Amino acid sequence: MQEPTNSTTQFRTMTAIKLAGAITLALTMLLVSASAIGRHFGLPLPGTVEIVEALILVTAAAGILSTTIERAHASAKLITELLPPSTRRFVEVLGLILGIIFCAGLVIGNTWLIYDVWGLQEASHLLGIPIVPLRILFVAALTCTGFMLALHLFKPVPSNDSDDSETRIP
Amino acid sequence: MMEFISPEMLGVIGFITLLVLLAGGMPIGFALGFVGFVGLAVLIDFEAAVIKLGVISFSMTSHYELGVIPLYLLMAHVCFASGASRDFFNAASRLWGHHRGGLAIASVGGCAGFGAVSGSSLATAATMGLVSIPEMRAKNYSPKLATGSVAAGGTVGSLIPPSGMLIVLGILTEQSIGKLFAAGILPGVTQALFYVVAIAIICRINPTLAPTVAKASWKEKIQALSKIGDLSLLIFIVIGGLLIGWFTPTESGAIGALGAITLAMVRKRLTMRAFIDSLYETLRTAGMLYVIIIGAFIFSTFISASGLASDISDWILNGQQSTIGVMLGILLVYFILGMFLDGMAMMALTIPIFYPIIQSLGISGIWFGILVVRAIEIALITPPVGMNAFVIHGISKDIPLKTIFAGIGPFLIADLFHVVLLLSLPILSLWLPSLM
Repeated sequence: MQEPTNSTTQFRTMTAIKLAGAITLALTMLLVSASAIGRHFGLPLPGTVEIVEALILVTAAAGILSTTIERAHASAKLITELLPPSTRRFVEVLGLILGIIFCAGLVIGNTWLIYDVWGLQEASHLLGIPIVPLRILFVAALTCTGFMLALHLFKPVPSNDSDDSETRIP
Repeated sequence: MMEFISPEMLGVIGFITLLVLLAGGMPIGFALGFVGFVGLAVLIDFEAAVIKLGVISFSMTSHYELGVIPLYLLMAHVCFASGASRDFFNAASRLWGHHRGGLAIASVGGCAGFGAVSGSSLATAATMGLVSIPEMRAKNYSPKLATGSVAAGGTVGSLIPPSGMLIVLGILTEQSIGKLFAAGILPGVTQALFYVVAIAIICRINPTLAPTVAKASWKEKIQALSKIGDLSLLIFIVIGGLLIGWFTPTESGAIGALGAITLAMVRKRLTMRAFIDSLYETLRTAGMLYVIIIGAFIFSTFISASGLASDISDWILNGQQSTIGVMLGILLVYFILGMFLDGMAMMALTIPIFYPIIQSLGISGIWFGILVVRAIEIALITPPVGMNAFVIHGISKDIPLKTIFAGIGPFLIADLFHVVLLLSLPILSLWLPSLM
């Protein structure tokens, strides 16, 4: 009975992440379009750039996380496809370890920056959007990405499950 | 460590390590970031390296200009979901289908049209292949010509704006994406024309490759054209608006995505489910690209700090190599790398080294960018990687890869002439950007 609960939780988490990214993406599209059209009709929307930067960060963080959960990171598969399954698994594990080290570096670096700017009231110039919460959100997303990569170490890729990145746009 | 190895040697070791990791199938973004991170830690120190990682990753993901990536991707995914590729092929086949080889020409034309919304050669080849190959085969076209024209035609999508490759190149080299888009138009159009000439020549030599088909009536032609009229207008506004300075690239992407969604809904081609799927798919592709871009910038910082690129520049300057000689050398490297790496990996690996060299030699970065994308696209149809050929094989499983690659042959010859044209006439790439 444990497994369906786990997969439901996983599905809900995944849906929540994707939904957050999709909503911020749709908002970005609407806001940037409104700003561009408004400017030509004498109705500029001041501060659009600052709001869009915050929205884009959420979109990018959700995108990186969902790409990782779905094992959709791009790679050149020409040589690995010729390898026997055990060697292919070794290559996959090596790729995950590189990813974990890279993510750890990103998490440490971004946490370091939060520590440096903590208490300085870092905010955007025009609208005063606080930056530290965005930094914390980004660190949280990177930590989850690293954690997901670590989980993948124990779960081999189901065959032909991750090969579609080659036919995706772009 | 630095007492034993010079910074330049460390750069060389980093480059070779990255090449091995990428060829070995490691995720591109992770491999770039890992090598760059470790390289910086050894070259400078751990503290500086992690801070650099923090600064680069946060600025890349919260940069207004980089919003262009998900917005253009969304436009492409919506057009993809609403079946725009069929409309483009139908219009082109009604116009040119009755000529000998006309359906193959229509495939190339359809690829150019769909390339203007998809921005990706793989996606263009895949979607156009699903529509045009069955129709060509039903009309007794040779499988060689049918598959070869779509596999090669797909590569036009990477030059016709908005192009995913040009966006990433613009970000990596910090060049104007708008100017790169403008620069891609004439090379993209001439590439399509070269393919049309290639089809006409091979059909004249061997008429059995492509039997003639009945001419469409004017009513059919107008009907087919009316189906792409609104989408063509959207492309015109999105690209034209960018070129004449109405919109920034990010704004142009947003207007394009919003316009594509509106058109698809008005035409009842987009269900809510398909729209949500387009958003999710965009998110996934954008996530993949963001990791590659962060990794590429970290690797680029490492290569720059090692002094490797400036050493190579000095060596080239001292040897007094000609511009054409340097460009030929760079293109040769891409053709070789293309045998075992895909486009994005090649670009991320080489741009940090080649671009500073190009700058120090005073060669136009825009011209260089167009030639790089062209070289990468040629690698997409040459064996053994030839990704477009594999995509087409995935669609038409009964046609052997050997046949597809044989069908690509004449288009590769056309590509060779086209590269020579781009090399000898830089104005072809530089004229439109100079008007901006």
